Amino acid sequence: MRIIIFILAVLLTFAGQARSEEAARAGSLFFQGNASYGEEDYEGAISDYEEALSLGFESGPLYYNLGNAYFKAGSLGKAILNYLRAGRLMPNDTDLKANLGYAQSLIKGGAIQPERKRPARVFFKLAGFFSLDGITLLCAILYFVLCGLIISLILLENARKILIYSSAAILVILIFFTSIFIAQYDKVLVQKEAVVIAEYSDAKFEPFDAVTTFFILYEGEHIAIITSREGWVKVRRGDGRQGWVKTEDIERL
Amino acid sequence: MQKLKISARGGSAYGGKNQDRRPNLKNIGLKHFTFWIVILIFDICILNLPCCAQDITFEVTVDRNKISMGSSVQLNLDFYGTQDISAPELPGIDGFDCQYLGPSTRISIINGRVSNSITHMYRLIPLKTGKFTIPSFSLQYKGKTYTSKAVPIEVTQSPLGALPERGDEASEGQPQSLEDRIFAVIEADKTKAYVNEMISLTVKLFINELAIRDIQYPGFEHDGFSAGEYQEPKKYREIINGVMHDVIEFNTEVFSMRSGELTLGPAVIECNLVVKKQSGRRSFFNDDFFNNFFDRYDSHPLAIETIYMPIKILDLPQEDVPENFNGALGDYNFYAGIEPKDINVGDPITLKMTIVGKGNLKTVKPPVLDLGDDFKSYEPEVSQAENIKTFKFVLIPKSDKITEVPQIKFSFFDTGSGSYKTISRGPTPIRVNSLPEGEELRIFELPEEGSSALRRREVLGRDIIFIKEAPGKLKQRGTYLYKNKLFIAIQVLPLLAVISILILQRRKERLETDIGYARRLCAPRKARKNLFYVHKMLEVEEKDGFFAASFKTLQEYLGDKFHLPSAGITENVVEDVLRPRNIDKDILNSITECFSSCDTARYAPSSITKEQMARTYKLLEEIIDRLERVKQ
Repeated sequence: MRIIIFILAVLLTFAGQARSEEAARAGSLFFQGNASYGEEDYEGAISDYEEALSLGFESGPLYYNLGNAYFKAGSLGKAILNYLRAGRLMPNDTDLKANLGYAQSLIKGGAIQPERKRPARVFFKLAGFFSLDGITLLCAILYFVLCGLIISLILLENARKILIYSSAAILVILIFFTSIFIAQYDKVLVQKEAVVIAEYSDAKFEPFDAVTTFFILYEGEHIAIITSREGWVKVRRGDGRQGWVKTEDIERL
Repeated sequence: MQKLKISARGGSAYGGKNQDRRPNLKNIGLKHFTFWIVILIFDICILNLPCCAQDITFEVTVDRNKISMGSSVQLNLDFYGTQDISAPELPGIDGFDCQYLGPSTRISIINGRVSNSITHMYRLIPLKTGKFTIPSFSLQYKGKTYTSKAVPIEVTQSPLGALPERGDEASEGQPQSLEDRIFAVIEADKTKAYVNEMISLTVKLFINELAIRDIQYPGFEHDGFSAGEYQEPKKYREIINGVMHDVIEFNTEVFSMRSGELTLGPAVIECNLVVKKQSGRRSFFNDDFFNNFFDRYDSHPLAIETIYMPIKILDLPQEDVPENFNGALGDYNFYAGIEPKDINVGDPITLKMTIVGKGNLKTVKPPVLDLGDDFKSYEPEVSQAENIKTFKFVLIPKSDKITEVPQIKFSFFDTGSGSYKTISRGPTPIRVNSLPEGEELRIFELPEEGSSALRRREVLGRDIIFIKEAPGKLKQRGTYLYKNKLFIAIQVLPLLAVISILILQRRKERLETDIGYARRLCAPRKARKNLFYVHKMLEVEEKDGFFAASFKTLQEYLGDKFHLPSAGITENVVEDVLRPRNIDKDILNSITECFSSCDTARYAPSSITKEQMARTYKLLEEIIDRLERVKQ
């Protein structure tokens, strides 16, 4: 038994060490990419940043810099894709918002924003302030506060009324933020969003080459994925129009 | 023209053919009586109102002028300004059979002025197809002759198109097409105008006997024109070809921006036509009142389009253009005034210029002032109302040598005469006093347009912001806080805490309020304590003490366990209390035996051996142990 524990401990130690070495390598590639970018070697910068990502590590600045490098290299779609990925990790970064806004303004025909009613607009705007980890932590804090209030409600009879109202208020807030968490979870992990990386892509009525084109998606357009089928993906544009595009024309967030 | 025979009714509310419709007070109920009393009072009030002799007008209208064979048209003879005319006897009308339907009277009081009218209604039933004319009628009344206009009517063989039935009408055939019953026209006050000249545009919507709602302001093509806002729409009635139409009139003004052969319109008015839902089902009550009450209506959107209207737009003449002309078009008058006229150097003078008249006032710019270097002038304050535009200049005299404000000229192009006109005002004499000694002339200078840093519109470049210098917290992809096991484990703790505290609180509350529960809960602990004492007695072979303690232990335990008064518990309790509770017979026997041993020892202690003591102790232990396992 002791031997097994020893072996496991050694393996874990090595694994941890290997992980930290990879993290250090990713960090070094990041700086290397920055240096290439500074020398206006954007292809080199892209290569370094992509290699850092291939090691299994990510960060907001890494995606942001990669987006910049793609932008400078003329790949608008990839630039917007990486800005959106960065937005999930650092949603309130003003530089990122500025660059994303500028990149989206260059989309041919203009970026089509989703048509939402006012409550939905407010909800998604609020959701945009939080990363998945951020909203998870906020929900956990609210949950702890709610439990504390319930315990106080059980023990303290004198302040029952105020505790009931406070608990109800916290519960409502918790439900609201949990729904934001679910929305973020759906967005980040289920991978229902994508960006057009081809110069343009024909969105067709059916997943075949020889059918009528419904509308055209241009490079950089942010779309929602509905379903996929043998090399084709059914997508929905911001204005609600749906069509089938080729898988290679888009990249999931 | 045909002459009608009429007779005066002599002030009677009912007369002529309608004599038989006079209400008979003997036969009517109380409600009818009250109704007629109200009508009578109303009549008296009306007669007492100041009312002057009104002009009488006479009109002949029909409800529609295209019908098919088998249907009918309603002919109305309207007399405005009197109700004292009985039904005229109509002469024969070619192609129609005529039936009198009855009179309809109206009284309206507007601003204390009473106006009344009577309409005699007839039904015309076509006898053959073709185009007919209801001839103009003339009638004599109080020495005067009144003549109506002729009304054309077309009778066709078959209905001219199914028209949705109006909400409250019966489903009689409607031979007229929808286009005849609702249409719009576009009109302009002129077909030839100059660039920037105001053109009054009117769009009229005509509705004949249709239920129309949600009428929108007309939209119209106006390429080359600048269109203003619509005024409040006017509503009135108009007779076209003898058919009464409700008219909604929309007025606006347009200005042409370029010359050439331009067009206005077509204008489109969007509205909804309300029609009764066709249903063969009768209501439960099978009564017209209830049928109407339960009727449902559908709303059909309509877009009524006018034709377009050509307008020729001319350029302003290039000859004889006044020097100070700056684009004003119309027919104007010009006034200028100065206040005050006696001032010191540096004091402000208000020069007020007023332009009054008809035209495109929006394009009227302030007349150019040629004041030389003697005055400092500021940008004018401009105000505009209907047909009047005012410019107020503030002038500062710089010198005490100034004696007058120079002549001011206003030039405009008179669209009526097609020529330029100039109106001059002034020069206006003023007196400028020199400054008191020691005072300096101070003139406030407004920054010129474009010179202010605040006003300057800076053109900003746009590009992406530079890369981040630091990589931030590099984390493994796919690692999220909600997946962290420690984080998940921590989430369970508050829930456990809540549950534990809830259970403890409930137990505490029960212990405080439920004595039976509290005794039952304490019974085993107390019994164990007593048993310990009993065991000590057994060890030292203290017979009296042992059995007394055993008896007490059993009494107290049973009392606590079953919430009974401990002192009164004896062998009888087994039969009276425990047996009905379905406790195992062996336990009951053990209890009985234990009590018996204790009683025997009390009365014959010498016969008790240590083995018997040990057996009693064991029995006591067993009783407590087994009763603790019994579920209550």
